[in-house]
Amino acid sequence: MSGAHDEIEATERALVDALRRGDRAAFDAVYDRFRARLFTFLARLSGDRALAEDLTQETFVRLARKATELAPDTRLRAWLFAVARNLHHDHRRRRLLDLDRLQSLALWPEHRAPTESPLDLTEADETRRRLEHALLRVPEPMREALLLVVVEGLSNEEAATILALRPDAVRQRVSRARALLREALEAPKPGATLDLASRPARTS
Amino acid sequence: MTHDETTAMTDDDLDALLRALPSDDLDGVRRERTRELAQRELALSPPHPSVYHRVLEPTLVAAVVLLHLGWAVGAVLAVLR
Repeated sequence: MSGAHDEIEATERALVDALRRGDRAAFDAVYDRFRARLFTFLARLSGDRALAEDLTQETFVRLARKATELAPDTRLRAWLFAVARNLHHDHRRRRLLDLDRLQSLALWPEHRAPTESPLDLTEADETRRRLEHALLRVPEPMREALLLVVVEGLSNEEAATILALRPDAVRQRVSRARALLREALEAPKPGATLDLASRPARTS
Repeated sequence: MTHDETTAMTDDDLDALLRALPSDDLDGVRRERTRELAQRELALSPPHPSVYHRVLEPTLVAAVVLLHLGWAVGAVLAVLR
């Protein structure tokens, strides 16, 4: 684990060194390494594929503009996620998102492991769909902490730097996000039949 | 995933489910357009200043200025004597 972590850090350091020289091949390597992860993070954060595409593009354009000014000790992964997250926050500040509309979007079109049987496929797809929808119901401050720490595997300290929080606060948000995610998974599916019997009787 | 399964789910189970979610990517056209755009920006960005530009050059300039000032002061003192 530590060996693999050291290897990743060494690779990122080498990439930063090359980026500081304006190396185009290094930029391509960074792009191929982080593009899908950043896009997925942004899509789950915003609930909007088109917006996630734009913000992913803007993140890499920012990297290209700043590449030669990066500090030698830049943590590339944290830097990229911080830029992506801040771009999303800037966007949100400019425009309030309509959660209902976002939840109705099909976020993940076709991602199937070829080894799954048709039955497994259906169950797996259903679980994924429910989880993706449940994630969107977790308030953003908790969701972004969960995505960074659990899905992206960043340490609490790295996530704290990105989110401008203390590591303790990140830990609390992740814990709260898990609880809310469980609640959201237990909640009835969107579009489920309404329980009319529980509604108050209409008085005329 | 039933209600009971969700309730009984530990943090580790939930984390494993989240980590198993598939990642997505830009479609092919958008991917290449973004790459080209960013590469163009990279080509335009100025190279990182070398040690010469950051340290040696300002030091040399300061030394030359001080030297000239020294000569000027020396010349004035020589005239005054």
